Amino acid sequence: MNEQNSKDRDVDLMKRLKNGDQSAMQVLYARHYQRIYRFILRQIKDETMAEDIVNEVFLDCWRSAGKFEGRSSVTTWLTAISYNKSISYLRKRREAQMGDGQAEAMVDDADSPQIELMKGDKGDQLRYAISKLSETHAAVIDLAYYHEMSINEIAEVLDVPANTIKTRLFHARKNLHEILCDAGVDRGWP
Amino acid sequence: MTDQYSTDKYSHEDLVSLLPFYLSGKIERQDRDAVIQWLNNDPDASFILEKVEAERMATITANETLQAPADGLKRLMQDVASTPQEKSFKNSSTSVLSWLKEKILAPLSAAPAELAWGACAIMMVISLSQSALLYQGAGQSQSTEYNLASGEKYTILSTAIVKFADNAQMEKVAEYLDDTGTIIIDGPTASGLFVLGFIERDDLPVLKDRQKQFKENSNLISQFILKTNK
Repeated sequence: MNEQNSKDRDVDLMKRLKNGDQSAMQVLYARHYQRIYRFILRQIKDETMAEDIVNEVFLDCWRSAGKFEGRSSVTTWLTAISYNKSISYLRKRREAQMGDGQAEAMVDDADSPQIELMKGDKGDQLRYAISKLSETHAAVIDLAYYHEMSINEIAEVLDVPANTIKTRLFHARKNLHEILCDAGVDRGWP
Repeated sequence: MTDQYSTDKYSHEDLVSLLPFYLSGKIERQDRDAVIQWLNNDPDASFILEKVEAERMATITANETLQAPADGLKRLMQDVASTPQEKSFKNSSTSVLSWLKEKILAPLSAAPAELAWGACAIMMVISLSQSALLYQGAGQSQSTEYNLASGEKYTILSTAIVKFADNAQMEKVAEYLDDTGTIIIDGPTASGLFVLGFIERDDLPVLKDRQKQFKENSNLISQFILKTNK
Protein backbone atom coordinates (compact mmCIF):
# COMPACT_ATOMS: atom_id res chain seq x y z
CA MET A 1 0.00 0.00 0.00
CA ASN A 2 1.59 3.30 -1.00
CA GLU A 3 1.54 6.37 1.22
CA GLN A 4 -1.44 8.04 -0.44
CA ASN A 5 -3.50 4.83 -0.31
CA SER A 6 -2.62 4.49 3.32
CA LYS A 7 -3.75 8.05 4.03
CA ASP A 8 -6.99 7.48 2.13
CA ARG A 9 -7.61 4.34 4.11
CA ASP A 10 -7.14 6.28 7.35
CA VAL A 11 -9.59 8.94 6.20
CA ASP A 12 -12.16 6.24 5.41
CA LEU A 13 -11.68 4.80 8.86
CA MET A 14 -12.21 8.22 10.43
CA LYS A 15 -15.46 8.61 8.53
CA ARG A 16 -16.62 5.27 9.89
CA LEU A 17 -15.57 6.32 13.38
CA LYS A 18 -17.68 9.46 13.07
CA ASN A 19 -20.62 7.19 12.37
CA GLY A 20 -19.94 5.27 15.57
CA ASP A 21 -18.44 2.21 13.88
CA GLN A 22 -16.40 0.49 16.59
CA SER A 23 -14.87 -1.99 14.18
CA ALA A 24 -13.16 0.94 12.45
CA MET A 25 -11.52 1.71 15.78
CA GLN A 26 -10.04 -1.76 15.84
CA VAL A 27 -8.54 -1.33 12.38
CA LEU A 28 -7.23 2.14 13.10
CA TYR A 29 -5.64 0.89 16.30
CA ALA A 30 -4.00 -2.03 14.53
CA ARG A 31 -2.56 0.33 11.93
CA HIS A 32 -1.09 2.88 14.34
CA TYR A 33 -0.69 1.57 17.88
CA GLN A 34 2.84 0.24 17.53
CA ARG A 35 4.16 3.50 16.13
CA ILE A 36 2.24 5.59 18.68
CA TYR A 37 3.37 3.39 21.56
CA ARG A 38 7.00 3.75 20.54
CA PHE A 39 6.74 7.51 20.20
CA ILE A 40 5.16 7.88 23.64
CA LEU A 41 7.49 5.43 25.35
CA ARG A 42 10.54 7.20 23.90
CA GLN A 43 9.19 10.42 25.35
CA ILE A 44 8.18 9.33 28.82
CA LYS A 45 10.40 6.25 29.33
CA ASP A 46 7.78 4.40 31.38
CA GLU A 47 6.21 1.30 29.82
CA THR A 48 3.14 1.10 32.03
CA MET A 49 2.31 4.76 31.62
CA ALA A 50 2.98 4.53 27.88
CA GLU A 51 0.29 1.83 27.62
CA ASP A 52 -2.14 4.04 29.51
CA ILE A 53 -1.41 7.05 27.33
CA VAL A 54 -1.78 5.00 24.12
CA ASN A 55 -5.21 3.96 25.37
CA GLU A 56 -6.06 7.59 26.10
CA VAL A 57 -4.91 8.68 22.65
CA PHE A 58 -7.16 6.22 20.84
CA LEU A 59 -10.03 6.86 23.21
CA ASP A 60 -9.69 10.59 22.45
CA CYS A 61 -9.68 9.70 18.79
CA TRP A 62 -12.95 7.80 19.24
CA ARG A 63 -14.52 10.47 21.40
CA SER A 64 -13.65 13.38 19.12
CA ALA A 65 -13.70 11.68 15.72
CA GLY A 66 -16.34 14.18 14.66
CA LYS A 67 -13.86 17.01 15.07
CA PHE A 68 -11.34 15.51 12.68
CA GLU A 69 -11.61 17.61 9.54
CA GLY A 70 -8.82 16.08 7.50
CA ARG A 71 -6.69 19.21 7.46
CA SER A 72 -3.75 17.08 8.53
CA SER A 73 -3.24 13.36 8.04
CA VAL A 74 -4.59 10.93 10.61
CA THR A 75 -1.00 9.96 11.41
CA THR A 76 -0.04 13.56 12.15
CA TRP A 77 -3.23 14.10 14.15
CA LEU A 78 -2.69 11.00 16.31
CA THR A 79 0.97 11.85 16.82
CA ALA A 80 0.10 15.38 17.89
CA ILE A 81 -2.39 14.04 20.46
CA SER A 82 0.30 11.62 21.66
CA TYR A 83 2.88 14.37 21.99
CA ASN A 84 0.56 16.65 23.95
CA LYS A 85 -0.42 13.86 26.33
CA SER A 86 3.21 12.83 26.83
CA ILE A 87 4.31 16.37 27.57
CA SER A 88 1.39 16.86 29.91
CA TYR A 89 2.26 13.64 31.75
CA LEU A 90 5.95 14.60 32.02
CA ARG A 91 5.02 17.99 33.42
CA LYS A 92 2.79 16.43 36.07
CA ARG A 93 5.44 13.85 36.93
CA ARG A 94 8.06 16.55 37.43
CA GLU A 95 5.72 18.60 39.59
CA ALA A 96 4.86 15.55 41.68
CA GLN A 97 8.52 14.65 42.10
CA MET A 98 9.39 18.18 43.11
CA GLY A 99 6.45 18.28 45.49
CA ASP A 100 7.51 15.03 47.11
CA GLY A 101 11.07 16.26 47.44
CA GLN A 102 12.22 13.51 45.10
CA ALA A 103 14.46 15.71 43.00
CA GLU A 104 17.47 13.77 44.16
CA ALA A 105 15.87 10.55 42.98
CA MET A 106 15.92 11.91 39.45
CA VAL A 107 19.68 11.60 39.28
CA ASP A 108 20.52 8.97 36.71
CA ASP A 109 21.79 5.93 38.51
CA ALA A 110 22.88 4.09 35.36
CA ASP A 111 26.51 3.56 34.47
CA SER A 112 28.41 6.72 33.67
CA PRO A 113 28.21 7.74 30.00
CA GLN A 114 31.83 6.85 29.40
CA ILE A 115 31.40 3.31 30.67
CA GLU A 116 28.17 2.79 28.70
CA LEU A 117 29.69 4.08 25.50
CA MET A 118 32.82 2.02 25.82
CA LYS A 119 30.66 -1.10 25.93
CA GLY A 120 29.19 -0.82 22.47
CA ASP A 121 29.86 -0.18 18.82
CA LYS A 122 29.07 3.10 17.05
CA GLY A 123 25.40 2.22 16.76
CA ASP A 124 25.18 1.52 20.48
CA GLN A 125 26.99 4.75 21.22
CA LEU A 126 24.55 6.73 19.13
CA ARG A 127 21.50 4.99 20.59
CA TYR A 128 22.76 5.70 24.05
CA ALA A 129 23.36 9.36 23.25
CA ILE A 130 19.92 9.68 21.63
CA SER A 131 18.35 8.22 24.76
CA LYS A 132 19.99 11.01 26.75
CA LEU A 133 18.44 13.84 24.73
CA SER A 134 15.80 16.07 26.29
CA GLU A 135 12.24 15.17 25.32
CA THR A 136 12.06 18.22 23.06
CA HIS A 137 15.13 17.15 21.11
CA ALA A 138 14.21 13.47 21.25
CA ALA A 139 10.81 14.23 19.74
CA VAL A 140 12.18 16.07 16.74
CA ILE A 141 14.86 13.41 16.17
CA ASP A 142 12.29 10.58 16.33
CA LEU A 143 9.77 12.37 14.11
CA ALA A 144 12.36 13.16 11.45
CA TYR A 145 14.42 9.96 11.48
CA TYR A 146 12.01 7.20 12.50
CA HIS A 147 8.54 8.53 11.68
CA GLU A 148 9.89 10.13 8.51
CA MET A 149 7.71 13.18 8.78
CA SER A 150 8.29 16.31 6.75
CA ILE A 151 9.20 19.62 8.34
CA ASN A 152 5.61 20.83 8.06
CA GLU A 153 4.22 17.64 9.56
CA ILE A 154 6.59 17.88 12.53
CA ALA A 155 5.63 21.53 12.92
CA GLU A 156 1.98 20.45 13.15
CA VAL A 157 2.73 17.77 15.73
CA LEU A 158 4.83 20.03 17.93
CA ASP A 159 2.67 23.08 17.19
CA VAL A 160 5.60 25.34 16.35
CA PRO A 161 6.53 27.20 13.15
CA ALA A 162 8.26 25.19 10.42
CA ASN A 163 11.43 27.26 10.70
CA THR A 164 11.69 26.29 14.34
CA ILE A 165 11.86 22.64 13.35
CA LYS A 166 15.05 23.12 11.36
CA THR A 167 16.65 25.06 14.21
CA ARG A 168 15.48 22.53 16.76
CA LEU A 169 16.80 19.63 14.73
CA PHE A 170 20.12 21.37 14.29
CA HIS A 171 20.45 21.86 18.06
CA ALA A 172 19.27 18.32 18.78
CA ARG A 173 22.10 17.01 16.63
CA LYS A 174 24.52 19.40 18.26
CA ASN A 175 23.41 18.20 21.68
CA LEU A 176 23.92 14.63 20.49
CA HIS A 177 27.45 15.55 19.49
CA GLU A 178 28.12 17.10 22.91
CA ILE A 179 26.79 14.07 24.78
CA LEU A 180 29.14 11.88 22.77
CA CYS A 181 32.05 14.26 23.29
CA ASP A 182 31.43 14.30 27.04
CA ALA A 183 31.69 10.55 26.93
CA GLY A 184 34.94 10.67 25.01
CA VAL A 185 33.54 9.98 21.53
CA ASP A 186 34.22 12.77 19.05
CA ARG A 187 32.59 12.24 15.67
CA GLY A 188 33.29 15.77 14.61
CA TRP A 189 30.73 18.49 14.08
CA PRO A 190 28.38 18.93 12.31
CA MET B 1 30.90 27.81 4.01
CA THR B 2 28.06 29.85 5.40
CA ASP B 3 28.80 32.65 3.01
CA GLN B 4 28.86 30.31 0.06
CA TYR B 5 25.18 29.42 0.53
CA SER B 6 23.82 32.60 2.06
CA THR B 7 23.40 34.03 -1.43
CA ASP B 8 21.18 31.07 -2.27
CA LYS B 9 19.01 31.63 0.79
CA TYR B 10 20.44 28.52 2.46
CA SER B 11 22.84 28.82 5.35
CA HIS B 12 25.14 25.94 6.16
CA GLU B 13 22.95 25.26 9.20
CA ASP B 14 19.88 25.10 6.95
CA LEU B 15 21.50 22.58 4.64
CA VAL B 16 22.69 20.37 7.50
CA SER B 17 19.20 20.45 9.01
CA LEU B 18 17.66 19.40 5.72
CA LEU B 19 19.72 16.21 5.46
CA PRO B 20 17.36 14.01 7.52
CA PHE B 21 14.51 15.04 5.24
CA TYR B 22 16.65 14.50 2.18
CA LEU B 23 17.29 10.93 3.34
CA SER B 24 13.61 10.22 4.03
CA GLY B 25 12.47 11.87 0.82
CA LYS B 26 10.11 14.14 2.80
CA ILE B 27 11.55 17.32 1.45
CA GLU B 28 10.36 20.15 -0.77
CA ARG B 29 11.76 20.05 -4.26
CA GLN B 30 13.56 23.38 -3.89
CA ASP B 31 15.19 22.24 -0.66
CA ARG B 32 16.17 18.91 -2.19
CA ASP B 33 17.82 20.66 -5.13
CA ALA B 34 19.79 22.86 -2.75
CA VAL B 35 20.97 19.82 -0.80
CA ILE B 36 22.01 18.03 -3.99
CA GLN B 37 23.91 21.07 -5.15
CA TRP B 38 25.64 21.27 -1.79
CA LEU B 39 26.51 17.55 -1.82
CA ASN B 40 27.99 17.93 -5.30
CA ASN B 41 30.05 21.00 -4.47
CA ASP B 42 31.24 20.53 -0.91
CA PRO B 43 33.40 17.46 -0.07
CA ASP B 44 32.54 17.84 3.62
CA ALA B 45 28.85 17.51 2.90
CA SER B 46 29.12 13.79 2.15
CA PHE B 47 30.79 13.14 5.50
CA ILE B 48 28.00 15.00 7.27
CA LEU B 49 25.44 12.99 5.30
CA GLU B 50 27.10 9.76 6.48
CA LYS B 51 26.80 10.90 10.08
CA VAL B 52 23.16 11.82 9.63
CA GLU B 53 22.51 8.41 8.06
CA ALA B 54 24.18 6.72 11.06
CA GLU B 55 21.96 8.73 13.43
CA ARG B 56 18.94 7.78 11.38
CA MET B 57 19.76 4.08 11.55
CA ALA B 58 20.42 4.27 15.28
CA THR B 59 17.06 6.00 15.83
CA ILE B 60 15.23 3.43 13.72
CA THR B 61 16.87 0.53 15.57
CA ALA B 62 16.13 2.12 18.95
CA ASN B 63 12.45 2.39 18.00
CA GLU B 64 12.11 -1.02 16.39
CA THR B 65 13.32 -2.79 19.50
CA LEU B 66 10.34 -1.46 21.46
CA GLN B 67 7.34 -3.78 21.26
CA ALA B 68 3.92 -2.62 22.37
CA PRO B 69 1.95 -5.07 24.53
CA ALA B 70 -0.54 -7.12 22.56
CA ASP B 71 -3.48 -6.81 24.96
CA GLY B 72 -4.06 -3.09 24.53
CA LEU B 73 -6.85 -3.48 22.00
CA LYS B 74 -9.14 -5.44 24.32
CA ARG B 75 -8.88 -2.77 26.99
CA LEU B 76 -9.41 0.00 24.46
CA MET B 77 -12.54 -1.58 23.01
CA GLN B 78 -14.01 -2.00 26.49
CA ASP B 79 -13.42 1.70 27.07
CA VAL B 80 -14.80 2.61 23.65
CA ALA B 81 -18.00 0.67 24.34
CA SER B 82 -18.65 2.78 27.43
CA THR B 83 -17.52 6.14 26.01
CA PRO B 84 -19.98 8.33 24.10
CA GLN B 85 -18.70 10.30 21.15
CA GLU B 86 -18.67 14.07 21.44
CA LYS B 87 -21.20 16.01 19.46
CA SER B 88 -19.82 18.38 16.89
CA PHE B 89 -21.14 19.97 13.80
CA LYS B 90 -19.32 17.43 11.68
CA ASN B 91 -21.38 14.77 13.30
CA SER B 92 -24.38 16.23 11.57
CA SER B 93 -23.43 14.19 8.51
CA THR B 94 -24.19 11.26 10.72
CA SER B 95 -27.44 12.91 11.69
CA VAL B 96 -28.44 13.43 8.09
CA LEU B 97 -27.44 9.96 7.06
CA SER B 98 -29.10 8.45 10.08
CA TRP B 99 -32.18 10.46 9.34
CA LEU B 100 -32.24 9.18 5.80
CA LYS B 101 -31.65 5.61 6.80
CA GLU B 102 -33.50 5.26 10.05
CA LYS B 103 -36.44 7.64 9.85
CA ILE B 104 -37.25 7.04 6.24
CA LEU B 105 -35.78 3.86 4.92
CA ALA B 106 -35.57 1.63 7.94
CA PRO B 107 -39.31 1.44 8.57
CA LEU B 108 -39.84 0.20 5.05
CA SER B 109 -37.01 -2.30 4.88
CA ALA B 110 -33.28 -2.28 5.07
CA ALA B 111 -32.02 -0.28 2.15
CA PRO B 112 -28.36 -0.28 1.22
CA ALA B 113 -26.52 3.01 1.43
CA GLU B 114 -25.57 2.60 -2.22
CA LEU B 115 -29.18 2.72 -3.25
CA ALA B 116 -29.60 5.43 -5.82
CA TRP B 117 -31.50 8.49 -4.71
CA GLY B 118 -34.07 8.29 -7.42
CA ALA B 119 -34.77 4.66 -6.74
CA CYS B 120 -35.78 5.31 -3.18
CA ALA B 121 -37.53 8.62 -3.73
CA ILE B 122 -40.99 7.10 -3.75
CA MET B 123 -40.36 5.22 -0.56
CA MET B 124 -39.13 8.41 1.03
CA VAL B 125 -42.24 10.37 0.11
CA ILE B 126 -44.52 7.69 1.47
CA SER B 127 -42.50 7.29 4.58
CA LEU B 128 -42.06 10.96 5.33
CA SER B 129 -45.76 11.48 5.61
CA GLN B 130 -45.72 8.92 8.41
CA SER B 131 -42.73 10.40 10.18
CA ALA B 132 -42.91 12.65 13.17
CA LEU B 133 -42.08 16.30 12.64
CA LEU B 134 -38.32 16.35 12.17
CA TYR B 135 -37.64 20.01 12.44
CA GLN B 136 -39.20 22.54 14.68
CA GLY B 137 -39.12 26.30 14.61
CA ALA B 138 -40.30 27.27 11.21
CA GLY B 139 -39.93 30.68 9.59
CA GLN B 140 -37.99 31.75 6.58
CA SER B 141 -36.52 35.01 7.71
CA GLN B 142 -32.80 35.54 7.40
CA SER B 143 -30.59 33.94 10.05
CA THR B 144 -33.37 31.80 11.42
CA GLU B 145 -32.43 29.47 14.20
CA TYR B 146 -33.52 25.90 13.67
CA ASN B 147 -33.80 23.29 16.36
CA LEU B 148 -33.37 19.75 15.17
CA ALA B 149 -35.42 17.07 16.79
CA SER B 150 -32.15 15.79 18.24
CA GLY B 151 -31.71 19.05 20.13
CA GLU B 152 -28.96 20.51 17.94
CA LYS B 153 -29.38 24.17 17.02
CA TYR B 154 -28.28 25.77 13.77
CA THR B 155 -28.53 29.27 12.39
CA ILE B 156 -29.80 29.22 8.82
CA LEU B 157 -28.33 31.94 6.63
CA SER B 158 -30.42 31.16 3.57
CA THR B 159 -32.50 28.40 2.10
CA ALA B 160 -32.74 26.75 -1.31
CA ILE B 161 -35.06 24.33 -3.03
CA VAL B 162 -33.20 21.48 -4.64
CA LYS B 163 -33.82 18.23 -6.39
CA PHE B 164 -31.12 15.63 -6.19
CA ALA B 165 -29.98 13.85 -9.33
CA ASP B 166 -31.74 10.55 -9.88
CA ASN B 167 -28.49 8.64 -9.76
CA ALA B 168 -27.15 10.48 -6.69
CA GLN B 169 -26.27 8.11 -3.90
CA MET B 170 -27.36 8.69 -0.35
CA GLU B 171 -23.88 8.39 1.11
CA LYS B 172 -22.59 10.98 -1.32
CA VAL B 173 -25.50 13.32 -0.71
CA ALA B 174 -25.12 13.13 3.07
CA GLU B 175 -21.40 13.71 2.80
CA TYR B 176 -21.90 16.65 0.46
CA LEU B 177 -24.47 18.27 2.70
CA ASP B 178 -22.01 18.08 5.53
CA ASP B 179 -19.10 19.44 3.50
CA THR B 180 -21.14 22.40 2.28
CA GLY B 181 -22.73 23.14 5.64
CA THR B 182 -26.30 22.47 4.61
CA ILE B 183 -29.11 20.59 6.28
CA ILE B 184 -32.45 19.33 5.04
CA ILE B 185 -35.21 21.40 6.61
CA ASP B 186 -38.17 20.19 4.61
CA GLY B 187 -39.22 17.70 1.97
CA PRO B 188 -39.34 15.81 -0.11
CA THR B 189 -42.40 16.90 -2.00
CA ALA B 190 -44.18 14.47 -4.29
CA SER B 191 -41.93 15.63 -7.08
CA GLY B 192 -38.80 15.03 -5.01
CA LEU B 193 -37.96 18.59 -4.03
CA PHE B 194 -36.20 19.37 -0.76
CA VAL B 195 -35.74 22.60 1.15
CA LEU B 196 -32.15 22.95 2.29
CA GLY B 197 -30.74 25.43 4.74
CA PHE B 198 -27.22 26.86 4.54
CA ILE B 199 -26.11 27.04 8.10
CA GLU B 200 -23.69 29.40 9.77
CA ARG B 201 -20.26 27.79 10.01
CA ASP B 202 -16.94 29.54 10.51
CA ASP B 203 -14.77 27.05 8.66
CA LEU B 204 -16.54 27.42 5.30
CA PRO B 205 -16.26 30.00 2.50
CA VAL B 206 -18.68 32.92 2.37
CA LEU B 207 -22.32 32.07 1.74
CA LYS B 208 -22.33 33.27 -1.85
CA ASP B 209 -19.48 30.91 -2.77
CA ARG B 210 -21.10 28.02 -0.99
CA GLN B 211 -24.36 28.56 -2.86
CA LYS B 212 -22.50 28.78 -6.14
CA GLN B 213 -20.58 25.60 -5.39
CA PHE B 214 -23.83 23.83 -4.55
CA LYS B 215 -25.60 25.05 -7.66
CA GLU B 216 -22.80 23.87 -9.93
CA ASN B 217 -22.60 20.33 -8.58
CA SER B 218 -24.46 18.65 -11.42
CA ASN B 219 -23.37 15.21 -10.24
CA LEU B 220 -25.63 15.42 -7.22
CA ILE B 221 -28.01 18.28 -7.87
CA SER B 222 -30.44 18.37 -10.79
CA GLN B 223 -32.38 21.50 -9.78
CA PHE B 224 -31.40 24.39 -7.57
CA ILE B 225 -33.56 27.39 -6.77
CA LEU B 226 -32.17 29.86 -4.29
CA LYS B 227 -34.67 31.19 -1.78
CA THR B 228 -32.93 34.36 -0.71
CA ASN B 229 -34.75 35.82 2.21
CA LYS B 230 -35.20 39.57 2.11
